[in-house]
Amino acid sequence: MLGQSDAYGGGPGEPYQDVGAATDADAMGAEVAASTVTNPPATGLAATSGEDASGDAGGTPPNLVASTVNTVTTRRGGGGDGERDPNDPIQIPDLPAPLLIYTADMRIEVPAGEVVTTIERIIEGAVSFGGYLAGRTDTSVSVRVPSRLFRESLADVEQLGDVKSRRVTAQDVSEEYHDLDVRLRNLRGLRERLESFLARATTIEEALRVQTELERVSMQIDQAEGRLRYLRSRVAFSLVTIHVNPAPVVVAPPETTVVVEAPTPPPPARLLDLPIQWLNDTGLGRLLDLT
Amino acid sequence: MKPTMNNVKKNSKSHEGRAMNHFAQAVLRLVLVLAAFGCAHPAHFATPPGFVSIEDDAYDFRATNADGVVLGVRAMDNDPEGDLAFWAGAIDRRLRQRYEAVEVLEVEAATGTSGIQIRYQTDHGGRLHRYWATIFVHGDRVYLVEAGGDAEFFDPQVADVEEAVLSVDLG
Repeated sequence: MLGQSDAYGGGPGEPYQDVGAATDADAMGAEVAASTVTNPPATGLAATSGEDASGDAGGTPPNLVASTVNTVTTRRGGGGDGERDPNDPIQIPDLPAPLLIYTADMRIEVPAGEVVTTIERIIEGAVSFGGYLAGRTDTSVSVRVPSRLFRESLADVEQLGDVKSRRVTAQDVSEEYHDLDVRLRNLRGLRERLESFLARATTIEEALRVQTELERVSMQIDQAEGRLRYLRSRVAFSLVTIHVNPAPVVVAPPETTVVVEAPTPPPPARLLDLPIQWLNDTGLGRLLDLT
Repeated sequence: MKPTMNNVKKNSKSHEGRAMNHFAQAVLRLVLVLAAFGCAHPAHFATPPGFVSIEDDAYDFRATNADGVVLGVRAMDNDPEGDLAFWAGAIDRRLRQRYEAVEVLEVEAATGTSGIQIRYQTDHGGRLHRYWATIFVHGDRVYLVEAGGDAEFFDPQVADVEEAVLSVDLG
């Protein structure tokens, strides 16, 4: 099961939600009355499986693949098998750190004409953090940056324009990773046994049957290793996608012209209604009537 | 019964009274005839060249040319009694309902009587027409001298029309 959390609308520098960390701390706190957990502050990939990280694709930073040793200072109150020195740390060898894949999606506005240069600066910034270009269009760019510098990378991008939206997602792949790790160890054990069977095979038929099984197991081992490498890569490098839009040109509104409607003309003057018949007969009609 | 002196005197006085009565009636008739034919003749104006006079009951005098330009004058009682401004205003108000006033002029007739001439134009039967109304008030009469016609034919006659209008004899 994959845990997933979205953090919307946080301000610059606001920490993204670290899914899974609190759960682990709570579980530990149930067993320890008072404890101080010392973990590496960076986003941790606790490679507790003993898998050799040196061959990982993508150059996973050392601090991300180093095996986490949880140092817990415990103070138990009375009884038990004796007082433990508060300064004497105990070793908790298998405290798993969450494996989180961080993804950020940002939308920024820059002055018109500076979209391309802004994208270039984003790429340069990612490289300076130890990251690399993952994809690019005319108005967007995707970079992968080391997860330990995830926040710094976002803060750096935020300086380049006016942030219109930001979305940060943390995907917890701890369970899948550890399942794969266990499965891989089992497969390797199986492979060793099959290899020993193959060495001891007495007939060709038996050898072929063991060989077929050995190939099948080897294929599963390759698949599991590939998936683990993928997860480590994604955990080690966070994907940041930035959409760079030109700021809309603000057009000054035209000067408002106040149109004053002409006042309604007064009604026509009341006509003089003189009781004089010949006034009504005045005009062209009568004058031009020669009949 | 034979006539007596008294009766004769009475009869004689009766004959004298009847004779006087006939004389007074004759004088009165004479005065009326003179007034009718001498002092109060109908208004008229000088007929412009190319115009012919028309006798009718509608106007005191009316004349027209072959193109239908018509002049006419008629006199009405100054009742209710009003001055030139009153009658000019009353006529103008009525005419402006149908015509567009173009010009208002103060004029003086050849007889020295002041008047007001208002010149209008209007669409009449789909053609532009002129119509001039010139008002005089003289004595107890209001005189209205009118001139009008199709603008195409009226305009070339303007000088003659003006002269004819101002030549009006108010009687």
